[in-house]
Amino acid sequence: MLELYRHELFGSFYSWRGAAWIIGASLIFSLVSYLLLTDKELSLLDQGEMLFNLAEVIVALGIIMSAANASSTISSEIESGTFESLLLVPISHKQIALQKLYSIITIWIFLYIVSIPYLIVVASGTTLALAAIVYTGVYGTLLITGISLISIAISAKLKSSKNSIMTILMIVLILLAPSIFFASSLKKTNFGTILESINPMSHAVNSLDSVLVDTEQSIFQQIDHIWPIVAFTLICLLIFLVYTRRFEIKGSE
Amino acid sequence: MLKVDGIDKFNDETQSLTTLITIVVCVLLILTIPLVIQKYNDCLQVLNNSKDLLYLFPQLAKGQNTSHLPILLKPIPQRLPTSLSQITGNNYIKLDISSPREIHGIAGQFIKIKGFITNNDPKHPFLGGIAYISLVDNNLKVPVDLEDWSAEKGLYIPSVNITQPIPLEWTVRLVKAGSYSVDILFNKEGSYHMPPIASSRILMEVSPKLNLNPGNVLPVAFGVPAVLIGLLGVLNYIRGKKTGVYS
Repeated sequence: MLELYRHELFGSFYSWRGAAWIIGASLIFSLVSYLLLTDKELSLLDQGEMLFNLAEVIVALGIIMSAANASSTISSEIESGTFESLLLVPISHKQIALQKLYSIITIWIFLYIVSIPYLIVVASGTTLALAAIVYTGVYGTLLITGISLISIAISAKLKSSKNSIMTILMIVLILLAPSIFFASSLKKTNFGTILESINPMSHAVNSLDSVLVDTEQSIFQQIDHIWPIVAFTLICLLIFLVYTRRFEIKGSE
Repeated sequence: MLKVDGIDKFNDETQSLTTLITIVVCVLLILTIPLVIQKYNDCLQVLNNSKDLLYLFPQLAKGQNTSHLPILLKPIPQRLPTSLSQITGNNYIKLDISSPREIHGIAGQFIKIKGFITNNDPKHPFLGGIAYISLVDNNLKVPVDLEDWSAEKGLYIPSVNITQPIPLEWTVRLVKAGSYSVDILFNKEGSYHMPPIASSRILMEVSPKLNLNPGNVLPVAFGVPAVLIGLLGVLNYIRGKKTGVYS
C-alpha cells in the first residue's frame, strides 16, 4: 500500500549520500546553539530570544529542505523517464503524489526530532522548553506541509526540475522576506504590516517571538497567528488536489 | 514520429512557461495588494489632516481656546515662560543615588541602579520631567548607547507638589566587560534653556563572562551529530552485509 512511500524514505536514509542532509542539519543546529550560548555577544541575548532564533533556524531549514525536495519529486521522475513505469503501479495518481508528500513530511519529522535536544539545551533553566518544542513543531509541520503540497503541484505542472525548484525557491524567499530582509522600521509601515498580515511565515515568526520572547504561551493568545497558517495550508491542499488529479506526461495526449 | 515528439515537447515547454508566468504574475499581484491599501490609507490620512487644519486655522485667527492643539500650532507667546528665574530656578531639586557607589559584576548579569529625586522647596511645585541614566565607558572615553543595556530609557516624573523623595530605579544588563561610570540626570519639563540636574556618579566594573559549557551545550552540540553518524554507519554496514559489500 505504501510501497512508494517506503521507497522514497529509504532513499533518504539508507546510504551515506542520501542521509548526508540529516548530519548537515544537525551540524547547523550544533553550530547555532553553541554560538548562541558561548559567543561573547550572542550569549548576552535573553534566553527567550536565543530560543526564538534557534526555532526560526529550525523552521526555515525545514522549509527550504522540504521545498527543494518536493519541487523535484515529480519532475525528476519525468525527466529521468521513470514516471511512466511509476504510473503502471496500480495506485491512483493522487496516491502517488500523497505518498511522496508523506515521505517529505516524515523527513521533516526526523529533522524536528533531531532539533529537540538543541531546543532543550538552549532553554535550560527556563520554563520555555515545552512551548518551544510544541510551537516549533506545530508551525514547522503546517508550513512544511503547505510548501510541500504546492511544490508537488508545481513540479507536476511544470514537469521541469529546474523551473519548479526556481519557482518554489522564489516563493519561499518571498515568504521569508519580511522576517529576514525587512528592517524593523519597514515592518512597522503600513506596507510592512499588511504584508506581514497576509504572510503565513511572518505569522509563524511573530507567534514564536510572542511565545518565546514575550512568554505568551496560551493557544488563545496565538490563535490570530495560527489560523492564517492553517488557511495557507488548506489553500495549498486545494491547489495540490487540483493539479495532482491526473498527471500528464510527454506524449500522453 | 520525431515531428510529433517535437510538437509535444514544444507544447510542454509552452505550457510550463505559461504556468511559470502565471505564478510570477500572481505573486506580483499579491505583493501589490498591500501597496494599494497603503496608498489608500495615506490618501485618507492626508484628507483627514487637511480637514483638521482647515478647522483649526480659523480658531487660531480668532484667538479662541487652543489648549487642545498640538504644541506647534499653539500661539508662540504661550510657549515661552514669563520670567527667566522660573526656568533656571532648579536648586531646590536634588538627585541622590541609593545604589552602592561601586558596582562589580559579570557581563550578562542584571543589576539595579537606584536613586531618588527630592523637591526641597514646597513653595515651588514639582513641574514634572524626565529622569534618565547616562553611561560612559571610562576606558574608551565615550558615552555608551543604552539600547542593549536597559529597556527603561527614561522615567517620566509627573507634576507633584510634595517634598518627599520619589524613588527611581533602572534595571541594567551588563552587556560588555569594562569600566563604566553611571549617573542619573533629570530634565525639568519646560526648562529648555537650562542644564539637566545630575546625581553623583557610580563606578561600574564589568568583568568578562567565560562560557565554556553553559547549559551542557557541548555534549549535545558534539553528541547529536556523532550519534547520527554512528547510526547511519551501522545502517550502512547492515545494508552492506546484506548486499555482500562487507562479506
